[in-house]
Amino acid sequence: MTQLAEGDPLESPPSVLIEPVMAAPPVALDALALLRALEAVSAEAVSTRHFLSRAAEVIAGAVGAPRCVFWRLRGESLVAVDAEPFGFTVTERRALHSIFVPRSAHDSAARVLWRGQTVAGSTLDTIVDDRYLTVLRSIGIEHHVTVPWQWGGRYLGMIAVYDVLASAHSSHEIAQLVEAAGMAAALVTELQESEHAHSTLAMEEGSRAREAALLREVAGSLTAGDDVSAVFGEAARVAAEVVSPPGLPPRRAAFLQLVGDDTLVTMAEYDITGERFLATYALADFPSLERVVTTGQVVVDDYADLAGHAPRVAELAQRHRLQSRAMVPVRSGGRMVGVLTVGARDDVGFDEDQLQRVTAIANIVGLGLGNTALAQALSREAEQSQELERLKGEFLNVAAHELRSPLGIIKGYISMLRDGTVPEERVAGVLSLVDLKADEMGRLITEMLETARLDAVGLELSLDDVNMVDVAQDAIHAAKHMIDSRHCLRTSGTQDPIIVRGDRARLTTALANLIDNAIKYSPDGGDVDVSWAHGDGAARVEVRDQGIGISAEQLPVLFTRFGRVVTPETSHIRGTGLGLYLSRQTVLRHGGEIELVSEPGSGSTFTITLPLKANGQTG
Amino acid sequence: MDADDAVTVLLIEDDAAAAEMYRLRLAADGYTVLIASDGEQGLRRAVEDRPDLIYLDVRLPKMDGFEVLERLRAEIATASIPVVIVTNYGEPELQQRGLSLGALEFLVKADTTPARLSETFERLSETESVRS
Repeated sequence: MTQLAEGDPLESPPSVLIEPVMAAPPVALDALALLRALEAVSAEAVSTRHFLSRAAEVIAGAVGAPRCVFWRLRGESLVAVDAEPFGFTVTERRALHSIFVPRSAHDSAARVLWRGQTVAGSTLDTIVDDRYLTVLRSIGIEHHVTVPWQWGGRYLGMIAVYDVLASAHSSHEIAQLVEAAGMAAALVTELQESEHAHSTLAMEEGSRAREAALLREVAGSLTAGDDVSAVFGEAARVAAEVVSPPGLPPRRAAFLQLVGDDTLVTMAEYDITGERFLATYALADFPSLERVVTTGQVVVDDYADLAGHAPRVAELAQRHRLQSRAMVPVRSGGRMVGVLTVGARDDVGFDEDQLQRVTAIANIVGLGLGNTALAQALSREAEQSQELERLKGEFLNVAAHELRSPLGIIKGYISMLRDGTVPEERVAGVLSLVDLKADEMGRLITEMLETARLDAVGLELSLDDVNMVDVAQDAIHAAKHMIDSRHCLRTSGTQDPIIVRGDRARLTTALANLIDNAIKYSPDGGDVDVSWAHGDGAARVEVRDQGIGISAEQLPVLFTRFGRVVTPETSHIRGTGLGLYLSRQTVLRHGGEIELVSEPGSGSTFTITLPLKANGQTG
Repeated sequence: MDADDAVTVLLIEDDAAAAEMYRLRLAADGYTVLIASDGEQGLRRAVEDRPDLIYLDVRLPKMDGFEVLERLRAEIATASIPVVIVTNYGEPELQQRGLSLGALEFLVKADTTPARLSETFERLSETESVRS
């Protein structure tokens, strides 16, 4: 629908009279009576809404129409919720309440609002907004007179009277009358609203504040993981209060929890009269409830509708004078877990605002239903996340320092090579050392990158037939640069090939890391034994040291990404801790395991186990 | 410098490669170089050999650098030996701590060439922080 601009010609000329409002012809008598009636109504009305509802009735009576609706402008839409439409049944009213007539619609509303024109005596053909048209038609309305509802230069909305009976008054006169009434009503409304503004606002604020406090309390109890069912009662009470307008019989609320996929169980009921309904509802027997559960829609209907298929409930409702109900879905973690129903003893029904507030309560309860476990899971996650951040921070710190050591050597020797401090005969040795240090930095960097990639991508292996004996010997060779006179690296194992299906480079690195570790954690020297064997379909490589060992408490973090075992004894030991983590990830990806046996003070034994290549395995 | 006048420096450093590198320069500059590879050993040698200057790493086995520094200061025999911290930890808090414990300088290894390290004694002498 395109927006009308001032002065735009209408696309399809309406077949009705459309005239700007002119000076009122003498219908003074009727108008005066109407205004007096409105005044009387305003005196006894308890709220703006009440007043407008009565005003609609008065206006309808004055013009001889069975129906009248105040459509109030809310934002860019017209809604009927601020006043009770006069002359409609509960169902019809509900239908009207569900409409938002967009202001920009290319129809009577637009004309009325944008140009201050009156659409009088019109058939419904001029209405272009589908929803509005459909609803009016479904009610059986055939004619409407719609006038702008305005006062003091401001549009408040529009007033529509439907199906005006043929009478002495022309449509035009009716329109003027209604418009005048509208102005009067606006005046009253404004006055009332400003007069009661403070007290209403205060009352409104007060009750909303109470409601908010209740909601917070409910939310607090639920998220604290308290016994959820104990809180249901409280939430039901709040829900009932929220939907009970002042001046009307108090309404009831009930929480039904979904059990299995086919039954709702009443968890809590609140009714000021103490009435109780059914304990369970089989969804098969209650299509409305079922619709709420399966579609997640809010469903509003009459208890009378239940007479056919759920006579018991209909009977209960009748006995307790309940007329209509609204059913709101309760969700938890994306699943439907129950229904919150509210019931009314009046024929006023439920408005959008009430339904929204009840939905809010339902959402909170939904949170609670899933929540005892969820709250714990969430706080665990939060703790873990915090811990992870802390570890990451520490790790980055350690990694940066680790890189500084070899860097310092490289730069130091470069400066000494340049200024001639290094005697000729030592240059070759220095260059070798510098090269090794550069390698060390490279390894550290690779470790860090691998770990980062592991997060994102997972370990990629290039598979081939690999002889673990070769792997062992390569790893030992790589570790030799770390050996000093205090350590003794011994090897033993079969000469026979031990074939596994794997990535040779990564397996070598994994083993080299273990050997590195063994040396680093034997600060007082000692033997480091590397041995290999196979049996029972598995290849085994063992690295044993006589170092400071690892205690049971340290084990859980040992193989984690940032789990350097840091104790006063080990705080000086270089390394980021990534080595063990990567070793384990590598071995796991190969379908193997790393076992650790350790005794603080006596040393540790790491064992890599890998499945032997099965016959028939190919690349 | 003849042997009697030779200035003795003690390197308390667990990284053998770094220690060796500094020794190369210090020896070339005429210093007598002693090396200890952990905190306890460092403390012992300081007491026994009374070096003229101590280069002290922070991260050490058996006793960390700050504790070594505290003990050096507490011990009459070593209290007046100038100490220079040489480490890869450059954080301001650590610098503060080191200086407040009595270290005269705080050098970050990765940013300090052996030549500069070796100049330390002379540099400190100029400011009369050390016995000449």
